[in-house]
Amino acid sequence: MGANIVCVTSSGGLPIFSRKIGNVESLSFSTIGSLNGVHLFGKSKGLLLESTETENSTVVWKEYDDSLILICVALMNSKVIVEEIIETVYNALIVFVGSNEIKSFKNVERFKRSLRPAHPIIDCILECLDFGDRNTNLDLLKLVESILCREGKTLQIALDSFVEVIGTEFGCLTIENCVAAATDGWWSLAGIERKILSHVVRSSSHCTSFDMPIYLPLKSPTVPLRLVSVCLINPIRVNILCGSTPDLSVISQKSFQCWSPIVDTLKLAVQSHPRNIPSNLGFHDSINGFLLVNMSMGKFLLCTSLKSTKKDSKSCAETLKTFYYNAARIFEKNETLHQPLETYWVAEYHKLHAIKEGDDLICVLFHSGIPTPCMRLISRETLNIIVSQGELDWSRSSSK
Amino acid sequence: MDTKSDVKTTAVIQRDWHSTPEGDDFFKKFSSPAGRRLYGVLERPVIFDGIEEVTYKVLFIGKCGVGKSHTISHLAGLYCGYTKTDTIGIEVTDVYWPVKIWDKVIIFKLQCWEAGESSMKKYNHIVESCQDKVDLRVFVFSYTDTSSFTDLPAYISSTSDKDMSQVAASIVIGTRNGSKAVVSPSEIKNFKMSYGIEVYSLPQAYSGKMAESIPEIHPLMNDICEILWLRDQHYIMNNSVTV
Ligand SMILES: Nc1nc2c(ncn2[C@@H]2O[C@H](COP(=O)(O)OP(=O)(O)OP(=O)(O)O)[C@@H](O)[C@H]2O)c(=O)[nH]1
Ligand SMILES: [Mg+2]
Repeated sequence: MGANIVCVTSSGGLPIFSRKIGNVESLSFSTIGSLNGVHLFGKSKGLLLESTETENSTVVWKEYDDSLILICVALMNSKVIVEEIIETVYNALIVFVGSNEIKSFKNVERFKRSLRPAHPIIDCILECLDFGDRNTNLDLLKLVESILCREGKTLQIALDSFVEVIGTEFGCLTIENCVAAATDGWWSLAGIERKILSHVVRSSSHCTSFDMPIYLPLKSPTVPLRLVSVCLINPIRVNILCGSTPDLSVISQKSFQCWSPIVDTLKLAVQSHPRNIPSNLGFHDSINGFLLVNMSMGKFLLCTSLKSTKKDSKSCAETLKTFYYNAARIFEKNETLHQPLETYWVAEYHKLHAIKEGDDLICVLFHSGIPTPCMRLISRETLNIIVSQGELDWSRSSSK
Repeated sequence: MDTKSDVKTTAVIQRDWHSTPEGDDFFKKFSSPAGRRLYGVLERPVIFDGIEEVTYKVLFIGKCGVGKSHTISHLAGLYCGYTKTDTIGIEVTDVYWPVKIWDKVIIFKLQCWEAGESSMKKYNHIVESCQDKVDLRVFVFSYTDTSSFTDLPAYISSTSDKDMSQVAASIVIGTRNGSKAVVSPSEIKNFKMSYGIEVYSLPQAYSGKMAESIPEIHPLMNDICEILWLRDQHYIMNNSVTV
């Protein structure tokens, strides 16, 4: 199970990059040529080739800025998902080189080289695909992962005053790459921007601090900003977007000054991981785990270590991911006349139920003993336990 | 003025401290066979509680792809399970290293800075923040890439200190020293003679993975700490003379 994504130039079909995930062969040079060829053939006849499907895979073509063509071939994933993958990858390219460079690069070799830092991010994006074969990462497309902890309010206050000291509006605090607090400015970024930035932070988390020039695909596609990230205590990082000042050493110093008074709070907050919710929140016995999505804020919370071992927790998360992609995502579409509000699956070892309330969507994994009609009640109750805890502030900005 | 020979001959750091029971205990506690871990700016290894710490800024410089990031991870004892790509912007990794100077244990915190070459060319603020108040410059080349070695003089002359009373120390590290090396020992010797900069070699690491091998990096880390320590001593001495 796996997928390939390639990028070629519009004029001439020169390969720019090729990445893959899973145990599939990389696309051969001649396959890439043919895929590009059919697209080109259509174009010469005034036809736009968007996608095609084979027995088990989906191929999607998309041309951007009359400059690049992205082609993705994925097994087991629907056209909608593959299109979103392509869109995210294209935006990730902008993050690294800016939109002007994509529209009008002169030297192909240099352009290829300047996109190399984007490769690990493209790999992260591909990990958001779901192959149902239990080998992928548990990341979801377009949504940032978050964590809820009792210390959330304190962290939020500290973060708000930290960004003020630095002189920016954009800051977020992550624990093991899950958002624990973020400023209003950070939430005001487009979901896809926040998601790509979270991939960038994750793939650079091997260093104490970094200072990276980046573009924002929607907010600032032509003027680079700085993404600065400082590890406070491993694995907590504070990440900000800012202009050319202050300098990295100053930001590190200020991080020390602002955060050291609450270092004990940070240490407590770390303990919420990997449960991702405070340990004193109890849920119904029939629940193995749940995935909570806030659609307007573009964030999710994955809680899979309620009682299970590490291995169970992983398979629980994978099952929820499959369920979300294949059943629950229909709630996010607004085009249907009749809005579905609930859906469920019954399998041999477990049952899954999803329900939508306002902007929130919860997918719950139950053990198979639960009577099917009871799921609705328990899902609702679970959602309520979290949303009603004002202290946890789950729906923070969406209420503003 | 000519203090260079003093620097080389005065050994202040106990070289075999790590194999004494005390040193062994230290290293066992902050490093495991699986490697060391990364520390944030608000923390440091617990076993160092109450011990004096000195902080230095170390800047790694060299041609794209010679192995600067790799070397820093190696010194920090961090695994990089994935293949890393070119560094863009600045990356800073704090490396902790305990040494025994005379009869006292001191923790060196080396802030290892690296910036991608393309970002250096494009962004002035990146160059400025890298070059600001550097204590040690580490020029890196790869034994398997001749031009990365022949470019060293250009890199050395392009870095300069604004404040002449606080000139940074320099060393050279050659990576991938193995059977495929194309830079010869005599070239290294000539380089050392003409620039008066010490050259250290790191072996070819295999399959991109590295095991924590403290014995291997001990001499290098101890030398780096000693160079920095002696530089401070000279600075203090010189300043107290002129006052
Ligand atoms: N086999 C082997 N590979 C190495 C060694 N040192 C570095 N590499 C690999 O060479 C590539 C480049 O190394 P980096 O450490 O990223 O080089 P760099 O100098 O930081 O490069 P830039 O950040 O682009 O300037 C990486 O894929 C490393 O895994 C080594 O000693 N042996
Ligand atoms: Mg590097």
